[in-house]
Amino acid sequence: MDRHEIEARIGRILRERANVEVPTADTDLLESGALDSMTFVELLAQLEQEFGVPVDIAELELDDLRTIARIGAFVASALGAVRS
Amino acid sequence: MTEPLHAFLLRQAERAPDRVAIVDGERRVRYGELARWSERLASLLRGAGCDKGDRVGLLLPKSAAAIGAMHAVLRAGGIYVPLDPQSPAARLRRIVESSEPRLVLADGTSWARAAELDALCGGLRLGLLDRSPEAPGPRPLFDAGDLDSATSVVGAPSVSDSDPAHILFTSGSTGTPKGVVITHGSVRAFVEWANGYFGAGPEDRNSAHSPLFFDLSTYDIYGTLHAGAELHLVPPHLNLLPHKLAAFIRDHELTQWFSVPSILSYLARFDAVAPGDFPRLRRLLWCGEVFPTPSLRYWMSRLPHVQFTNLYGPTEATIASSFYTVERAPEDDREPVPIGWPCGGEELLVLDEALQSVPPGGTGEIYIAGAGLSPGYWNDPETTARAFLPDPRNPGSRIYRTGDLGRVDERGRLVYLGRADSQIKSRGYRIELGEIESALNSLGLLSECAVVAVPTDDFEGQIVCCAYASERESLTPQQLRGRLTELLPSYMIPARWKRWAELPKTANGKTDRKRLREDFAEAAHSRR
Repeated sequence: MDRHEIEARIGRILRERANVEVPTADTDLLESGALDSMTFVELLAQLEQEFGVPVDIAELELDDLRTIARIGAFVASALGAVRS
Repeated sequence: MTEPLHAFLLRQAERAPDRVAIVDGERRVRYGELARWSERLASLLRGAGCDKGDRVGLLLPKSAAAIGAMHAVLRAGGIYVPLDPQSPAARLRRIVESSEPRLVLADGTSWARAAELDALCGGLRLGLLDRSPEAPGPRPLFDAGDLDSATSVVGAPSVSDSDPAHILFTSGSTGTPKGVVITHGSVRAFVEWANGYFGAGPEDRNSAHSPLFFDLSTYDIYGTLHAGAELHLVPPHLNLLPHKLAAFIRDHELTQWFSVPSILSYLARFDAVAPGDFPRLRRLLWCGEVFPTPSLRYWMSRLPHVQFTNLYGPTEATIASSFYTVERAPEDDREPVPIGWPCGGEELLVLDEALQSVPPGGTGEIYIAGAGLSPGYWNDPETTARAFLPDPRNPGSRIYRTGDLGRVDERGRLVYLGRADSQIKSRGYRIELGEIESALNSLGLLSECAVVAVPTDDFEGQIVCCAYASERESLTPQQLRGRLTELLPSYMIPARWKRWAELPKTANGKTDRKRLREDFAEAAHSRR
């Protein structure tokens, strides 16, 4: 799965599960208020389900979540770790 | 002669100028420094024409500067109005138009919002607490450069207990936020009672978790400065990361935590608190909504060394009106924690529709009398008269009708039983569902809409849901949500949406809200 595909899937999760239309992969989700705790918890659950990567909330940094691109990078590296 | 609210800071600044008052990120602001800074700003406000009773909008994030600005406004004899920089300009405009501030203060982070508001309102008088930007746009009357060179206040007016200190705008059912006027005397009465009850002192390190437009922050700020203690500003972005928030409490060695329960439930859900964690913490207070019993039990079992106190009371009665220190969490998950007994100087009554006292065990509406009562809503005598009634026992004094239902239990404790109207609490935010409907209707896209709240078992408390019908086939919930974010702050945006061909109706033709609630509750259940 390439980065573009991962980002598209994250965008779809936000659209379908949280009704949030995020304009670009670089839109700041925290500043725009799109990502509140409710949406966030839903997003983590969906990331685990959709990509099969475990997400440990205790290890997350805020910057991992700031944009769709950053979340995508996080998922990609987790996928890499799962495969190897 | 009683002290005005800003005297707490001035007294500590004289007594112990080098003690730390506020910890704001890497900055540690001392009492003396905060007092001098606020004096210079007060002098600029006076110079800009701010006189006794004038409103000053504070379009500022939670920061040491914002707390200094509150004190500056009070020292200039003014009334401050917190304006949430996260709120859309369209909603802030309504608050500005209602409160008619002589001046609005912004900082570098909120300057873009200030410019937007300036354009919407057709010209504001602005003050900037940072350096002026190079970019085109509105020019502030003064900026950080003027602030550095300003001198002492000239002819500060004296204020009394009954003078307003600030106006807090809360959600209004008709679509326009309501401004609750809070006096110096009301805040001082609560702070003096609470600091006495909790045994607060200069060794305390208190959390400042709530945003400044939320009245819990009033106790954070004035309670801390009254005690000569340290106020530790909790960065809002930690709210998403429970383990980081727990680390903040631990690393800052907080002695007092005060917040809405939803964030505490969020930490419990992710098990972010270790047994015996936060060894320096002495007390944990919550207010604003019901703390779910399972979460409370988690916290109490993790932190046996901490005092747990439930505070209750609407903004209209200043911070809190009743308290209950929990000895042991109820064993039955469905058994609520009582809201307890009146705070000092307050009185809580359970009355029926004829304003007659309901005997213990019976359900009635909760009314509040005493030192915390607001004079009323800003510039709105009609709404004020509906909510603040003459006390039937003593028509010379007033009682406030909370809209909350309650009952006095067999031990004489007051128990909260829910709302009598369509006001809800979601993640601690007080929301009138009517304000959301009014914003949706103003879009002109829907033929019908109804906003309802559905309880969850989870940390959020209630979630806001919107059912709608529209003749526009292609209209999506994503588009509706997007348009609504231009009108309402994010905590008011519905989390669930459902399109209907036509909303279900009751026998007498009204929207069947009960059916909609059941429908959303069922859908929420099947998502799990």
